[in-house]
Order: sequence, then structure tokens, then C-alpha cells
Amino acid sequence: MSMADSVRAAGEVEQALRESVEGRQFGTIEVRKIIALLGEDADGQTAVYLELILSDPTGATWPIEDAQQLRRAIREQLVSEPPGLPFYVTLRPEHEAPQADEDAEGTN
Amino acid sequence: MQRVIRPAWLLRQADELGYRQAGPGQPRNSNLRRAVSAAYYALFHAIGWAIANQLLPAGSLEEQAGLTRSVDHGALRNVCGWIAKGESPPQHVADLVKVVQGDTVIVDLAEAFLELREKRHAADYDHLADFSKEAVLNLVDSARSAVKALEQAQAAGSATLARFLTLVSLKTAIR
Repeated sequence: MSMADSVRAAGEVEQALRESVEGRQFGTIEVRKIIALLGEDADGQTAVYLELILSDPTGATWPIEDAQQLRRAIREQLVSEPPGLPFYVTLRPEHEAPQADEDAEGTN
Repeated sequence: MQRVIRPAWLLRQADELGYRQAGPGQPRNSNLRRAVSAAYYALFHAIGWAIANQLLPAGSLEEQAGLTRSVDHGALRNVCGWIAKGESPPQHVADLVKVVQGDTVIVDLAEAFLELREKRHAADYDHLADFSKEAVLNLVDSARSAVKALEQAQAAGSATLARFLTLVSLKTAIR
């Protein structure tokens, strides 16, 4: 697939998922925004990386059942209308806690 | 001391590195990266043990451990891609793959493997990869859920799991 075709495929995936998933609730998770980016995957293939910005979890992370429900919805859509590129999903909270001080002493 | 690699121990390590019990705030980036790697290897080794057990159910621990050494990351990636991402398998196994695709438990497991493998690669090699505690702990939970589903399917004698493990074994062969 040419780079132009890959860019078009990523745009189509983003648009399709925005229509079907953005704003939807999966258990406790609400999908706030979807961003599709192109990159090179672990096998050196051009791939679509889907970043899903989600409502912040109430605990350390989102309940796994809710996250699986969300992943299944994405998968069903992309397998039924394959973009012709490998795709990967990254979940992100709307608000991230500040980064740790990497140089500080201590265990974490 | 000789100790086998137990998936549960790797998952516990991933929880610790991901700061699960420690309250708000991000752990160190290097700890988040190692947590992703530990979670990936927990699932990889769980699949390896399941394959060894299927191929040699009466084998000794040493024999089964030896077999797990042959399980190939790339072969596993290919089979999981056929099952969870709609990638095209060879024609002669297409019907077999279709049967496995009908089992949500195995499809979830295959997708979890692919996501973990990709993130593990980024964690180890990509300086610009972005990791947050929330996302990393979700990956750890995905790995834990997949390991549990694998063990339950194996205990129940799942014929779909047997098909999945057979595809991985044949794709791998001995190396």
C-alpha cells in the first residue's frame, strides 16, 4: 500500500470510529476522542495506531470488563471493514497524573 | 536455585512496577516500561506452557520446559493476527481459523497478545513512546485476564483452544 493510500486508510478508520464509538459509554468508560496515527509496528509494517482518549478511571485503571467491551466494539468494526493495515489500540485517560521525578531516590 | 518462569509471578511484578497499590501519581517511566514487558512475557509463557502441555501431557517438567523454548514470538503473532485482526491465513487452514474466530475468549486472548507484543516492543526500543500508569495497568489487566481465560479453557478441555495452540505449534515447529 502506498503512503497516500495508508494516510487515506487511517483517515477512514478514524472517521468510521468517530461515528460509531466516540461519545459512547462502555460500562464506566466514556470514549471522549479518537485519534488515528500512522506508524511502523514491531514487524516494520505501516500500521494504524488508534489512541482512545477516555474518561478518567475512578481507580488505578479502568475495569477490565469495560475495557474489553470497548476493544471488542473497535475490533468488530475494523474486522468487518478492514483498513488493509495492522491496527493497534492505546487507551489514554483524559487527565494524566504528573510524571514521576526520574532522578529522585526511592523505589518509585 | 532453579525456578520455572510462572506467569503469575510476572503479573505480580508488573503490578508492583505499575504502582497499582501506591495511590495517585505516575511511577517512573522505566518502571512502566518494564511492567509492560513483564505483562507480555506472562502471557507469552502461559501460552508456551499450554502448548507444551497439549503436545506432551505426560511429559516431565523438564521436557515441557524444553518444548516451551521453541515457541516463536513471530509465529504466535501471525496466528493471533489471523484470528483477531482479520489478516489472511493460508488457504488450507482458513476453515480452522474461522472456527477459532467464533470463540470470543480465544479472540480476546489473541488480541491481548498482539497489543502486548506491540507495546512491549515500544517499551524496549522506542525512546519516544508514551506510557501512563492507567494505560499500563490496563495492559497488565489484559494479560491477567488472558492468562486466566487460557487456564480456564485448558481446564475445561476447550476444543477451540486446542485448535489455536495447534496452529501456533505448527507455525512454530521446532527451532
